[in-house]
Order: sequence, then structure tokens, then C-alpha cells
Amino acid sequence: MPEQEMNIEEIKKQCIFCHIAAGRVASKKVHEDQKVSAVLDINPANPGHILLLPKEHFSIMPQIPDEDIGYLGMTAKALSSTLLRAMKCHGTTIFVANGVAAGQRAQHFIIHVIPRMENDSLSIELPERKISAEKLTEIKKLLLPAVKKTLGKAVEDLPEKPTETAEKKEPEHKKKSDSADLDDISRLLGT
Amino acid sequence: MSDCDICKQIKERNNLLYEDEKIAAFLSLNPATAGHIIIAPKQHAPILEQVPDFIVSELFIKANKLSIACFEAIGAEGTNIIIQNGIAAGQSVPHTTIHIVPRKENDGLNLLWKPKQQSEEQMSTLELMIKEEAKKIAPFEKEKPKPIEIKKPEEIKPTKEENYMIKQLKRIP
Repeated sequence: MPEQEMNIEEIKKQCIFCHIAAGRVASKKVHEDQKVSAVLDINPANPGHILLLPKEHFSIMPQIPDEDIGYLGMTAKALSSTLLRAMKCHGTTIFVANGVAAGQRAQHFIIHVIPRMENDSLSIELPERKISAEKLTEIKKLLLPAVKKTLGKAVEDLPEKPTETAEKKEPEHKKKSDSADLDDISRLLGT
Repeated sequence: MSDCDICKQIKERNNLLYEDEKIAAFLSLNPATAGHIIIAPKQHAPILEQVPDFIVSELFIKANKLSIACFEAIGAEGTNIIIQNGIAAGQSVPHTTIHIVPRKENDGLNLLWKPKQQSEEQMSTLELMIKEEAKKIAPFEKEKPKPIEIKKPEEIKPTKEENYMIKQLKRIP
């Protein structure tokens, strides 16, 4: 509808990130191609914090076509590698806030790529909460039809085996994680 | 890898929601919020850099759809999509995963960071450093088409007949 299109045009005019992505507003641009722009965040979580922006205006993630979200994901991976090498950081956090309830503040879809150092005291930690097997099963039952709808198929609702809850697993987690990841990052960097 | 928790959870189909040839998605057993989904490549890869580009693309496409499923089925008002890449980023299992965390207003989860102040000079130095390294970003790796099985053309062996012909040829002079 023409009226709706007008609205979108109006939104685009007012969206600062559309102007940044198009290069009409000055920014510290670190990467650009036909589809995306990557700029340094002026309010970084850590030095080197990159904002990856699609050039096309999308307010929220569900509006983004498959091809574009896939491309953004691959670019985020490439920028993560870039940061590991350029900043000699110990890891990266790739972060999307989708919707106001998730902390989204901009009118434009953004993928954050944030360099991480050990003990940088950044509060993007995911708490690990306990959940009962019954509650998990209940959520699974709710989600499966929707997953089937959005992804075309879902795991068939098999008769429930007694589900393992996480309770007994926790100590194992930590032990294993000490070995693999950082070695791999340093191997990747050739150090 | 046999002792990897993620590989194990996929293999045991423990709270699995979706799977295809390359990717599996399941409910987190230690959820940050109710409905916390983890999506992972089936091929064991400790860090993101080891996951092929075309699989990363698939993971993001599917993460988006799983996030939509959270909106539709469990009343999520928002979602966070998070990759913790490396121990410093909070990665707790040596297998690359994407977290889809359903959010509601006042759900008690605070993932927002406090911005750090940077001078114009610091920002410009970082820009140059990162831009230089970003020049090396190569075209994305596409999935190689599966080798088409073509029956090997049978080797053309000189048949007896040909041999006979050749013999005849040689005889002419």
C-alpha cells in the first residue's frame, strides 16, 4: 500500500543507522560491502566493539529475509576473526537484542561484535538456572508446533523418556571447558 | 567428539526441537529464561572460526526462525541471540552454539553493558587497526555441491576385434 510505503520511507529518513550505513553520517567504518556496513560503537562495551548494520532498513529480526540474515551471520563471524587478530583479544561476544524487552534501543537491526578479554567484567553472562524435567517437557510441547511452522519440520513428539535434568552435570562443565577453546583461539592466531 | 556435552545431547536427542543433516536445536537444560534454546552445528567445532561459513549462515537463518517460534508459542516479547566465542566470552562448553533467549519485560535478566569512554584518538587508532585486518575478509565459503555420482565410463579396452583390425592394418604394407 502506498500509505505504508510512505511510512517506511519516513522511518528510513529518521533512522540514524540508515544514514550511518549509507555513509551520510560520519562514523568509524571498519568494513563495508554492498549489503552491510560495520562501524565502531561510540559507546563501546569494550574497545573495538563493532556494530554490524544491514544497509537495508529492518527494525526487528523477524523482518529479515533468510538470505540477508545468513549473510549478516557470516559477516559477524568474519568480523569476530578480524577482532581476534587485530585486537589480540581472548574471545568475542556476538549479540543481538531483538525487541525492546531484550534491550533493543535502536530502530535498526544491529549485530554487536564485542572483543572480550578475560575478567573484563562485562555483564553479558547468561545465568544458568535450574529447571524441572516437567517444566522442560511443558515448554517443549508448546514450542514444537511453532517450530514446525517456522522451520518446516520439528522433532516428532516422541514418548517422553525420563529427561535428564542438569543437576548432576554442572561440575563437569567447568572442567572440560578449561582445555579446548582458548587453545584453539591461540592456535588460530598462530601464537 | 564423544565427551562433548553438546554432541552428547544431540546424540541422545535430549529435549531436541529440530534437527537436519547439519544442525540441531534443543532446549537448554540450564536455561537463562524459560524457553532458552540452543542451536548448534552437528559437526563438533569448539570455536566459531572453525564452523564453515555456509553452516554459520544456516545457523543464523534457523536462529531467526526459532526466535519467531518463541514469540508465537511462549509469549516472548523479545529475544536475545548470543554467541559466546571463547572462555573469556563466557563459553562454557567446547562446541560452538547460538543461544536464543526469550525475553519478557521485567524478567530479571540484565544483559546490558556499561559503555566505556573512549577518546577520539583512541577510536581512530582502533578504526585503523581493525579496518586494516578487515581488508582480509575473503568471499564467504559456499557449500561444495555433493559429488554427483557418475558411473565411470567403462574403460575402453581394445577389444579382440580391434586388435584384429590393428593387426590387419599393420599387415597391409
